[in-house]
Amino acid sequence: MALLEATGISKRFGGIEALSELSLFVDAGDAVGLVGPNGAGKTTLFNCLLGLLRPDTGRVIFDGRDLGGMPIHRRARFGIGRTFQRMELFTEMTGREHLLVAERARRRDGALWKDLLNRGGPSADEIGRVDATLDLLGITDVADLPVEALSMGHGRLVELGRALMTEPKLLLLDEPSSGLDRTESLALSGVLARVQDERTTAILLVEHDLDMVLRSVSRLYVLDFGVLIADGPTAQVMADAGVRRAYLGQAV
Amino acid sequence: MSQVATVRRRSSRFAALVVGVAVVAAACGNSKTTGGTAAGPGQTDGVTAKEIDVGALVAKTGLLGNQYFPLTYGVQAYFNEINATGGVNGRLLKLTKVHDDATNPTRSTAQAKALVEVDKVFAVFASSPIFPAGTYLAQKAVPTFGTNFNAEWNSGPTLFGHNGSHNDYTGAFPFLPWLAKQIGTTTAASIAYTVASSADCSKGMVNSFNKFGIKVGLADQSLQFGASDVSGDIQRIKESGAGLVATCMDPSGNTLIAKGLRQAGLTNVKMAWPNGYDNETLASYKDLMEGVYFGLQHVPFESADQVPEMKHFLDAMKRDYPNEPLRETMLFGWINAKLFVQGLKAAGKDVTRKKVVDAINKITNFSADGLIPPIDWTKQHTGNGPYDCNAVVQVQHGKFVPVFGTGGTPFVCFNSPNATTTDTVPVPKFS
Amino acid sequence: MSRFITFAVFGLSYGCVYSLAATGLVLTFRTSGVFNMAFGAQAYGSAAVYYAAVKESHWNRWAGLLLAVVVVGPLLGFALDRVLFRHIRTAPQVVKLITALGLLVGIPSVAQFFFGTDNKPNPPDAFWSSHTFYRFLGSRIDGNQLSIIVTAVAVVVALGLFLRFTSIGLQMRAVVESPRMVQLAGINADRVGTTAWVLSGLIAGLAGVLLAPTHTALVDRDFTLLLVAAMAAAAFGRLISLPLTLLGGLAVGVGQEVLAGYLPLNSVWAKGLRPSFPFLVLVGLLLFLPGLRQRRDTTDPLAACDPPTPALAASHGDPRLRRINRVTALVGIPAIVFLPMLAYHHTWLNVMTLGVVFSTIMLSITALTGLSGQISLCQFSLAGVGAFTAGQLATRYDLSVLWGILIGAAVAAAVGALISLPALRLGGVYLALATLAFALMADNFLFPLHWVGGGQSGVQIPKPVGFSGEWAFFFLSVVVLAICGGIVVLVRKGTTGQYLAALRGSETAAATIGISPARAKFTVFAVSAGIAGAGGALYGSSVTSVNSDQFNFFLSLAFMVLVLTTGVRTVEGAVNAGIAFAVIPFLLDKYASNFNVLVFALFAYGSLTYAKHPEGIVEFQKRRSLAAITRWLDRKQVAPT
Repeated sequence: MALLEATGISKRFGGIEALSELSLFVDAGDAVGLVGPNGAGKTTLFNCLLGLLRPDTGRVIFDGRDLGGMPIHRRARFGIGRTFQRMELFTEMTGREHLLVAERARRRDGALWKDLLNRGGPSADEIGRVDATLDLLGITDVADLPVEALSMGHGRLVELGRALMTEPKLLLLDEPSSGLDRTESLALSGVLARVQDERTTAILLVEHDLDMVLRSVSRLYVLDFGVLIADGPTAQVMADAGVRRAYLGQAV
Repeated sequence: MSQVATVRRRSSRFAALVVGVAVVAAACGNSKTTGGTAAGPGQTDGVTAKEIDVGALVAKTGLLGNQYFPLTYGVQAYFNEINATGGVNGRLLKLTKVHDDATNPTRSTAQAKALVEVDKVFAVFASSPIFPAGTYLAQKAVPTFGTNFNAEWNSGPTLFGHNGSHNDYTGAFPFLPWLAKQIGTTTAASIAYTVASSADCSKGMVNSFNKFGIKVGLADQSLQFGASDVSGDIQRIKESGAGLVATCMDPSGNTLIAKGLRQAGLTNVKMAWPNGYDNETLASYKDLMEGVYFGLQHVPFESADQVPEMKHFLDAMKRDYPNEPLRETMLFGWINAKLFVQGLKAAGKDVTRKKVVDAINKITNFSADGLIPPIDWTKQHTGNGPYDCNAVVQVQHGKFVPVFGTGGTPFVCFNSPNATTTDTVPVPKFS
Repeated sequence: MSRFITFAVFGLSYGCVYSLAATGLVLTFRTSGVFNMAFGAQAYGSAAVYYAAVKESHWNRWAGLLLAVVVVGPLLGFALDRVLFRHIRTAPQVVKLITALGLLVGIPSVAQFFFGTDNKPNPPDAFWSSHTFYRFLGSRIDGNQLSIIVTAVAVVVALGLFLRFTSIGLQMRAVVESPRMVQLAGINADRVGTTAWVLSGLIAGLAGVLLAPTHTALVDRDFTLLLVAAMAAAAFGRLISLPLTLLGGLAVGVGQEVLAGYLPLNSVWAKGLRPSFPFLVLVGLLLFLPGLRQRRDTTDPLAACDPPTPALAASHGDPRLRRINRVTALVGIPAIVFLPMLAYHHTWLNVMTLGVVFSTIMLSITALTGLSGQISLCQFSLAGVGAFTAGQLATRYDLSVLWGILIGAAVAAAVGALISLPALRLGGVYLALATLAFALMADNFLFPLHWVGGGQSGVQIPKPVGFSGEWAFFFLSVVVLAICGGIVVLVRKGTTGQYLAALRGSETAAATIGISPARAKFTVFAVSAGIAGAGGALYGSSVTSVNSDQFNFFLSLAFMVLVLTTGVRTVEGAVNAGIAFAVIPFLLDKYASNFNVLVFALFAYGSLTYAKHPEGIVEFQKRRSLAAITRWLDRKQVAPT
């Protein structure tokens, strides 16, 4: 039984069919990629998996549960985490605060009465776990700066860290290398690898940077105009002629 | 210091504060208002050898218009006359401070405090659609005179309204049922806003109609202040055949109903308005006001030929305020001033607030020389008076015309208290 | 049946005015994403100009109409776009709402200043005379009502054709999605937006001169109420479809009349429903029409091309600034509180007490809007709930007002929690509208109930034993303010505050880490309502008695915009707002009473600059001066000694 199973997903926007009878699956601990040209429907698919959009047809089953119309925050509690293509950071908070609030949200033991008795601050345990994650990501020295002051690379790592604190079973990564230079991209790949090693989180990665895709995922789906045109082990898919045509727009 | 220890210390401090507050709250009660004519401090505030200073608290600005401020004109005009003959016991009467409550309850109390504690006036003249200051003034036992438009006038024995200090909003009185019969109808309607004072007034009207045999075709106390949809009411008036529509609203609501009646072609239905008896309103709404009745509790301005004191008042206003349009509150100010002066004279040379108040509270028939049905101040702080009289005025051809007057006076009187029929009684002599 | 038709015909003309106004609203919403809450004020402006021209300057009617509708109307629309709304086209919904609120509070103030507050009876008819009557479906309508119907239908049809079949119409529809993309296609997005505002202004002018003669006097309040019904009509049309908008307006108008005609009078239903019917329609539509709820903030795909928002004027972390701030506070606060007593004695102590009491109520806005970014337009009504609770407990059970403050806070918190429940799923503009609906219902239905508001004479709220002296009560007020301030700070530092900070940053991302937006907002709404209730009880005690008219909705709006001006994120901002609300009218009254009327315009100023200065214009100026001081200090240090 796959961790994530999406079957027959379709979504229309007005006259445009963004997704058409799409099915994919991700196993626990798996690293799967999702690529395709711009406008193929990758972000739309993510939004459907996350709960931002309701697909017109199809089902999403996660960890044995049909997600149906479940709201985003409940999906998060069941173990789906996400990063965003255009970073969605919490403005005016520091990186450490991002991770702390995610940890608090994971524990779900915050309460108003505790706040009023001034017991709302972070506990030693929370601080410890956050420190560990900051270390894993390698951003401990920039953790106390407001996130607006961080470089894009660091910002993406904060976003990743935030998602990781909730200990997701599946991490949806939406173009994490977008806006990063080569060095930052490599660093991110390294972090992803370490995360996979240490925490056995499953990853569904949308990416344009094909190098990163090759390094990070074992299986690949290719999307074009809302339809899956290929899927299978990474190397095999990359060599496929149809894929090359869709991406490069020419017969090979 | 470890973080955990700091956290615990801060929380216990907070907890102590919470417990402390609860203990204090449990132990304490509320302070009671004093009130009464205790001979407290301030008895001779505003009194010097040569003059007596009084203040005024009126609604000069605010949503409900400018009808209240002219109280001060009536007061000043009467003071001018008294001062022209040397004042009272050698002291001239001066209206030194006029404060605006801006029709704002917070300001009402604040300005009253200013008058009493800062300006230190001897007495206060007040007129406003809102009067929380009344509670304060009663507490401080300050002689207060003004327009009895608010419930707070019965807060204490030092407050004197222009027609008594008591308001029986929901009691049954024969006037409106009698008016209905005069018009020739047996069905009436009453319309009011959701606002408490308006709604209560309408309940009183309904009680009156029920007690004295007039059918109530429509009683609406759910009109929103500022509403413009009265067609539902108009339709019900039409269907019930009501011939008299009495309202408890301000001119904006009254004119709306009048307009609706005209629009529906109900030209035989007459209205009775609780306010609007002044030339300014008449000039603004002449055609809508045609045929409207006003039940006044004082001599109409148009009846100066029947009551000499009215002529006296009109001459004084023309002399001192020739450019101000006549308003009822001017007359009430004049009447209030007369009561004040009567009290001053009775109190003698060694005047104190208590003496003035006690003197007034002994009077059983104050009518300001015939301008109003006599007030019995031994009773009318807390109850209705011995006379239930109205002077009726109707708008005819764009002018106010007194109607239904009997016995050489503009008034028509009913049995009081507890009338059982709408039969009139002979109008007693108001001195 | 004929009875029904009679009511329907009455409702038809009102309905048409609502539809007309709604088309104006829809037009600007579709092109700039703004719910133009100033529309009523625009309509009033044109009506006032028409009134002045015809009745006071005795112009010819058509000349007056030309001026009011064709010149002034579009001019006002143009000005609003150029000066305000153009700059916030890409701002979040809430910012747009706040700007519109500021106009709603401020414009009547400015209009009263220019046009005077005198009664303006018998507004002149616009097109056809209201003294001529026509038979219509078995009923009578007058000329004015007929002109309303004709004009509304004509405008809706014309506008529909314009939007669908002209290129500029298409451009208007594109602009709201992404002005940048429209510009990339070679179209001047600003000009398109301005055209929409000018047209909307014309429609506002028409609505104004047509609505005015249906009342017997020209009063700005009537135009605010027009706005609500227009919003309901616009919502009915899903903010897209003009024919449905027309239908929606008619439905609201006819529905209102039929309700008035058929509901048993003076019943709870009548009292509750009649005044708030348009609101209930609006809130109902928002709750149940799914199409509307999907309208999340449209994010411009090209928004990343815009330069980032300028950094806050001074960094918080600078210890010197904190010290300067502390010193200023330690010196300044006693100075403000005590020095003027030399001149004004007791009166100033009263003013200060009121200021402290209002600050407590303002704190409820800090707690809610400052922490969660939600707008509530009923805070003063919640204060009223607290006040009446304390008063009734004191009057009936002789319970100390100190308990009254606590219980009043609890009751207000419960009421706040109830209100927020249905509206929380909607968020943003819709929560604001739901709270406004509550405020109106409180004014017209809840507070006038005898057992709540005490009817005529209101409810007495004595001072607690031991605190009846002026100084003692002042001290008590300060303690209550301090406690409430402490609560706000603790909530901000704690879990709820952290969650809310995250939600403020990005609601979607916060949800992805498991934060339930509804739960956090609900908690803070209840806390905020509780603080308002405590402040209200304290306020009632300070003025000794309260009555049902005192807590009207307009003051809730005014408080909101005032706190936005002084700074909604800090306790200090709330205190500034409260003191300002007590002191400024006092000073104006004493020294410049002609300008009394402008007081609300002054308060509203900050909400107009909210987009650029979300920290509050006063806070911004303060930081700027602090930054200037820092620079001066730096220069002194660098200068050679």
